[in-house]
Amino acid sequence: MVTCAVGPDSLQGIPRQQTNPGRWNGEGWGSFVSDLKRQGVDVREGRADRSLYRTDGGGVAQGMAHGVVIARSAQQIATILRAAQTHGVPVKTRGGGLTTEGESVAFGGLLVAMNGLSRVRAIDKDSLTVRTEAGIYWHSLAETLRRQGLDYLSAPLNLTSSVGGTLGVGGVDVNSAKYGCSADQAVALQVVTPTGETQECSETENPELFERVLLGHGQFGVITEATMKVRPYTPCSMHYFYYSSLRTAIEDLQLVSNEGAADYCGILTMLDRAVNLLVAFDSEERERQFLSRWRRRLRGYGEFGFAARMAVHYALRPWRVREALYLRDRKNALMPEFEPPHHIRKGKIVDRTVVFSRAVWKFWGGQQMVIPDLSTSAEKFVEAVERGNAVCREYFPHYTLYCVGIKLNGWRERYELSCIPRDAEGMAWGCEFEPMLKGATYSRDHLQSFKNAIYDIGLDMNTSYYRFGGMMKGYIRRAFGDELVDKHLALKRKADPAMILNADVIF
Amino acid sequence: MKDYRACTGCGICVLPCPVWQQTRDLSLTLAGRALALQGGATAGELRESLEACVTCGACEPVCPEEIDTVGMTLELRKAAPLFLPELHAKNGQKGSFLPGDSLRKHRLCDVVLERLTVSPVDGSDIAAAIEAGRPIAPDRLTQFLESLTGTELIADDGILHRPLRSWGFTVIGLGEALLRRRPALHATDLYVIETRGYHADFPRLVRFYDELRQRVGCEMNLDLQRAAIATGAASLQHRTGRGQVEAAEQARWILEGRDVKRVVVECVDDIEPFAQITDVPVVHLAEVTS
Repeated sequence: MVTCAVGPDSLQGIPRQQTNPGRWNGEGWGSFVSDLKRQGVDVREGRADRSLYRTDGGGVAQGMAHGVVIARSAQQIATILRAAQTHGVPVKTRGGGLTTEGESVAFGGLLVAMNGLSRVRAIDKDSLTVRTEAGIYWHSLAETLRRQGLDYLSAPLNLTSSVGGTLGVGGVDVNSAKYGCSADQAVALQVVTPTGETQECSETENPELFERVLLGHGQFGVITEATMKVRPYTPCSMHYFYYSSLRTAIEDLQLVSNEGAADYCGILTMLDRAVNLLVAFDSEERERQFLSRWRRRLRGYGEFGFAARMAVHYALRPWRVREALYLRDRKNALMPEFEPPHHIRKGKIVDRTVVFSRAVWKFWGGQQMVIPDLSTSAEKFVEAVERGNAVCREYFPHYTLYCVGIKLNGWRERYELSCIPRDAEGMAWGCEFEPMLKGATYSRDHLQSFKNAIYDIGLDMNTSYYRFGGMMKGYIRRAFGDELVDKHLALKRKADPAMILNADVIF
Repeated sequence: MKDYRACTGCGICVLPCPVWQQTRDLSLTLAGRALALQGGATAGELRESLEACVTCGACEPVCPEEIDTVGMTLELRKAAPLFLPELHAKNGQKGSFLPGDSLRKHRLCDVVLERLTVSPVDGSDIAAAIEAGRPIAPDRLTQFLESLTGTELIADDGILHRPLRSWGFTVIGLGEALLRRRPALHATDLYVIETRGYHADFPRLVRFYDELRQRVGCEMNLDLQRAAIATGAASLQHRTGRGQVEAAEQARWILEGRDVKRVVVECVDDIEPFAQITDVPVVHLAEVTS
């Protein structure tokens, strides 16, 4: 039997081993690999090949696959999954690997690097759709679309999130209040089921599979190709409004989002002292409408007005000088990154995803990231954010909140076990709570305790979460209830008899 | 600058990487090397990855952690050096212009010398040794440095830009030197920047070329991050027939979806891959500079 190493060796010559008896621990690996090799699948088992996938964007969960395969075709993935069912070997699919709870980390078994499937198949300018292999990064898709004067609708503010991975969990952008989550952009999918059948699905063809796979956390199949809506590319103009009250900023976010006053809208904070409401527009016409109809209804300040208020605030509270200096330094470092001259044309930002994603990684990224979140209905949102903010203050000196609205086009089956809360109508609201961990050292216990404290708010208020898989899966039954989870477990067992596909994510 | 330990695995560096563009294999990229090293891999285990890299340097300016990506790769190569062809430098010359190995042998070298009115110095053996991860004999290095004259060097091979700066010289690329002479460029051109020099001085040159692009209105081999897409043709591996990156494929990707009437390149190595895949004229910048 091949024992399962769970991470890089902590001590030279003493490999860390999987000791959880409930987990698969190497049975059948040898015959599985022989079977795959016989069928022409290249399985890499070297340390260098495996160790580069040992963690995810969160950097907290650590695991080592027994072997890695670079995805090359749907047929190859079908071969792998059929063999995995036969030999009972777990298979983990990974796109950009930007999960934070270990969802894309393989704790033994086979890891399939989906970004090997990255070709854009076809662009239809008439119907405004693109057909692409699903392992492609959103940014690579944008590079191809831009040459045709097109852009995707919405995607996470991470250049290296993959299309397939995003469709499997949702995908939220600052224009999700206009377009909905990324999963709702999908028109059709090619899916390899856990038993190795390649099927096409859409709202009209195999609709049950379509609804299970979208927002399905990789439980019901591997998305190998996707047809998605696209739009003509436009540069956008940005406006920032500053608040010192979370509640007021959230109310204005909801106003702008609900009334469709902007094409992009979101909140990004420095602690809860400097709350920034970002609004942006795809056209000058939309910008003019906003300035004439909505601007005066917003209670946020411009940069200089807010700076003056903050100066007075901290002048009266000299014992908070360190906080004031932090906010000043942070703002001075951040703002130039959001307005690099070579990404600005005539006052408009021409590559917003590049600018935002780079800034996100530069200022929020790190070796470890924990980003617990709450996803709620409109009525619960302010309270959920305020309670989550209080938890952040308790656990960390510095943190950021990121809030957006997510448009819903009616209730869909795909939302059942997802980040979309049951009681949301028309719009769901999400807030991420992200502590600044760079340069600081926290124990895993501290980080887990923080996440639990945020998620406990969700249980108390009956909300949903974006990241409830992996290390947070203990919350699934408590948040969604036994009846719904058992229903999905039965569906999973039927679709994946050996329970080999993306184990440890949900089930 | 930081080393591989600072890598967060964001993967942004793979986006402009020619090796990634063609293989979609993370293990052959800078991110793959950094993450594998974090996981305990040795330079020897990364030999294939180190051989694949064309050292275009596009990974460096886009890295949010500001890791010395090129330095890291070149340092690792010292433990797994590339094949190095025998190069005999012409000694005894003194000057401020360093034509790359390809340009030195090309008919256009005389055209460039005429346009720039500079004296050439042969540093192709130094450039190749740096790129391959091979040691440079101290005597040869001293001799080379003593042969450099003038207040500003012009180095055609961008691999030399960083080391020359670290040795205290002011250095610009051949493209920048010729662009100062206002060559005849048109809005219908595809202008192909030499990638190594560009990425080695990115904060300054991204503005320089952005201004050129706005002034002329031409297309460039830039991606949405403003990294320059390399053909890989200038790499040592390509020049010695050991490259994994198909230069013509890269040229095809650069041209995809772009309607241009002419391709103007800064680096002579880029002429051939473009000429292979397009019917429009492919010319060197020196040929459109008077």
